[in-house]
Amino acid sequence: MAPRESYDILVIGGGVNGTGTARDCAMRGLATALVEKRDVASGASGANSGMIHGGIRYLPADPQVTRLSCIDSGYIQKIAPHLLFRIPFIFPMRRKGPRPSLVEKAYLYGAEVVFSMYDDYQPFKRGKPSSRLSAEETRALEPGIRPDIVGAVTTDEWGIDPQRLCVANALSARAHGADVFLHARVVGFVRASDGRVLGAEVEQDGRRFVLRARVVLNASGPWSPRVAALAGVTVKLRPGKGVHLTLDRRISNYGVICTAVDGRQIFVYPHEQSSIIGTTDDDYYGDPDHIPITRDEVEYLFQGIESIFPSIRRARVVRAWAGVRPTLWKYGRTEDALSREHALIDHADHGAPGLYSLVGGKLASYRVMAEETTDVLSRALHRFARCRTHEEPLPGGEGVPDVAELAAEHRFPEWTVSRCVYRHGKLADRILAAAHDEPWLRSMLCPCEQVTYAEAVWCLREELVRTLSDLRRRCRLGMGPCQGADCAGAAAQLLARERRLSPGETERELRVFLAERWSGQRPVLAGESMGQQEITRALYRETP
Amino acid sequence: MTRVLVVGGGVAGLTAALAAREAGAEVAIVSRGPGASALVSGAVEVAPGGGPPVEAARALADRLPGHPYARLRDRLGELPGALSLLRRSLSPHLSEEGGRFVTPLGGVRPAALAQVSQAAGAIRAGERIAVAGFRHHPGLSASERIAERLAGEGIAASSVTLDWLDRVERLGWTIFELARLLDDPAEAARLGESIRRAKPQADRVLLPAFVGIERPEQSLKLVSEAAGVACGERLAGLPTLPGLRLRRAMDRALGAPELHPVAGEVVELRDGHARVDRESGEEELRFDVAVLASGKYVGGGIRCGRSFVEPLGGLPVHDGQGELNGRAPERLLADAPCGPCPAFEAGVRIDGSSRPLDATGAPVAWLRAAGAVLAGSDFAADGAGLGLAAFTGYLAGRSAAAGRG
Repeated sequence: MAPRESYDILVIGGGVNGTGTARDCAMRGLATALVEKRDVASGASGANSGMIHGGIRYLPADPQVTRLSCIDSGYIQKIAPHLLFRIPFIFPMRRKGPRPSLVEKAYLYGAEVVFSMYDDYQPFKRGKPSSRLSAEETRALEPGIRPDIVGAVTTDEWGIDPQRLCVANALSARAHGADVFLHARVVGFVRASDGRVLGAEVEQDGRRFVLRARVVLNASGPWSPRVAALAGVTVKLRPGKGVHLTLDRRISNYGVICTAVDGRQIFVYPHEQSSIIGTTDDDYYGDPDHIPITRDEVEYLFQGIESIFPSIRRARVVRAWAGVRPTLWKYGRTEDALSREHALIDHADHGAPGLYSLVGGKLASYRVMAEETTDVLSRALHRFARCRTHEEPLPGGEGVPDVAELAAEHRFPEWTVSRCVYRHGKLADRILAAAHDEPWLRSMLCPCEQVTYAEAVWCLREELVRTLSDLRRRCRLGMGPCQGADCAGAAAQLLARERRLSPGETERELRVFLAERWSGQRPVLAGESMGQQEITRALYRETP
Repeated sequence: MTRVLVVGGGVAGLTAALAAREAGAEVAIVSRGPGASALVSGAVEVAPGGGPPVEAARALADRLPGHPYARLRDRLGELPGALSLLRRSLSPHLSEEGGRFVTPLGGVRPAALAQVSQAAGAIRAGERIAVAGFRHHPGLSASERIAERLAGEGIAASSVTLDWLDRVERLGWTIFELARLLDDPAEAARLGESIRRAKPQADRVLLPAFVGIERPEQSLKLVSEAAGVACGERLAGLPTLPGLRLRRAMDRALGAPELHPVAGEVVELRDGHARVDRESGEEELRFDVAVLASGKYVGGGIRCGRSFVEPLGGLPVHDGQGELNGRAPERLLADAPCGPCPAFEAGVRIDGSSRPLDATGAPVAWLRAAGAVLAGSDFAADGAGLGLAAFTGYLAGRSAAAGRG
């Protein structure tokens, strides 16, 4: 894509803040460019808990964060109804003796009070009020929970596919006229003699070009200190590493809140086709491009869940993954106690007028952050259009089609259609309809995640996909129990056909994809997973 | 007469049982179900690199001193005998000769033997190949890219698109369903006619590994006759039809009453007797010598939790270099998913008579070991596949039949 002569605004970073702000800017009529060095949602925005939660954790310290999150969660439901799914949570309370002690009962009551405070915010996001369960009721709902509990309190949150959320924002930005440059890295800034930032120099496919813009927004999350340093200014973060584990199955129907060995709260919860365990929160000043995961972190999570949900050891962990929260700097607090608030920094005060950095925040409030940011930026440009990102649906969010009807009309199995509808909302109709003219599109590419050739081809053609891993982020290809053993080769062939790749390029794509899968499997490789890996290795041994 | 108990019903276990029986032992073989041998490509690979199998195995032994071939270097002359025993016992499943074969992603791989329908797909000098694909079956339609990659390796290859599946109403057939379809002679002829219609400019047409389950050699003959050109199969990826065919051929071989097949899992193994968990309950089996052919992680012969364990004999676990017991598994995983990796070399060491070594390094007189359970073997990295299983199984079986010590 050839860049325009100049833009009103250049957004750096393809995470949820970057894509969300680019969408808002484009919808307000600003000439917008987005540049991302890897793919959409390839950093923290793709490696979080996948929840649009109100943040009950932040309620005691930051009620404003909770309030904003809940209100915005309601808006996200409105603009992307297909992408959200309810996750009811259970918070069981252990007891030491044969009968609950007075102190233990008091703790449960305390939890009930906190959760009922949260109930005040639930209506903003169509959440259900909390309730209190006896030990028997808790075990009837979730038999995997150990019997020696006092009882439990429930709460209600929403799950989301964070990759799809970012993709939808990027596609919407593009549909409103923004230019989206992926796999394009900012290597420097273009400056005026007075220090004003006039744009960025970008490298893509080995070529360099300049994107000129009146305002530049650094929304690169954990990379934002590095990007800021290119302009000679400082952004100070207290980055926190969060590790999650994906299980090979949905081991519970409800989210279960557990207490880790250090007293922190961690969860196991059903998410799409699997269960997720999360998360850790530790200071991390290492390289955000290569986040190491240790066995200790994996064991910490497992132990914590096991204390309430012993059968967790029976599940196979298919991978571990980590992201770095771009949390605002603060001295003298533990990681968990750090605020999830966000800040927009105007670097004019630091000798770089025209450059702003958006840091902090959380997934659930991305939209309102983007709105506030766009307000500031458009004011700087003397443009005053109204924000509409909470009213206009994201692509596919115009409605959620009936799965049974689509399945009958396009002759696909219902379970396949339901995954396609989940990921693409209203667009699922068009995606599946293509199979009437091209019957080969009916075949299944990734059985674990029910990705048909129809869906994969749609993503390849319409959703800014360049690599096999990009395709994975669009449709969860290779993210199931076999981690690509079944589909990676066929997917590489499909990509090669669509993009006319040479055999060498095709092999390289496959190799990079498998290496990425491996990096997440390596920290958890033990037990049954070794058998799966033995098969996968043998299968792909010809990728040098 | 020596009583030999074989633990594991894969290729290593089968060969061990046959060799022991041939050497006059009384044999029982315990199998808990299909393992890694149900997941094969269809080729019996001895070692990477072409040439005679014994030479290739020797070259591998030179390169990897911790590999089972290096441990058994003096016995490599018996490799052809082992392959021959496997071939005869599975007849007519395997070809008499090997060659170079085409992988599902368009690579070329040498093998000592192959399933008969795949042997017909071996690359022959001076021949032009047409790689077949199917318009309506994307999983089988990578033909252009396979041909392109083959051409890159100097092989005269083109691609040809067949209409055989066009008339089939339901789409997304699995490889097993298509193979079942091709067990029908009429359907095999239809596939052949679709090749004839496509007029491939080639001496040989390469099909996916799907030409029939029951009698692939006969189905392939019908296809070739109707096509008017020689046809053969490529090697398979997953899910694999050749794996199913091998499994069926092995089940037939294991059905021989003189092998005393036992369906169940050995849960305890001590000198002289084994406890076997069967559907009908637990059973005690007595023996003089036992052969561990229990596989690696797929088979369950080696387990990896916080450390590496060989669960039946309690034997120390090594890689190609040294002992792994007590070493953290995460330190033994390579940075890349493919290529050498100590954790996947994990297994038991043996002496030149296939006897596993205990913690003191002394051979265990009542045990033998064969196949993927051997230390230093890692199919994905060393390329010694079923050939290694057959060779080490053969030696272990013969050694076991000779009695303890």
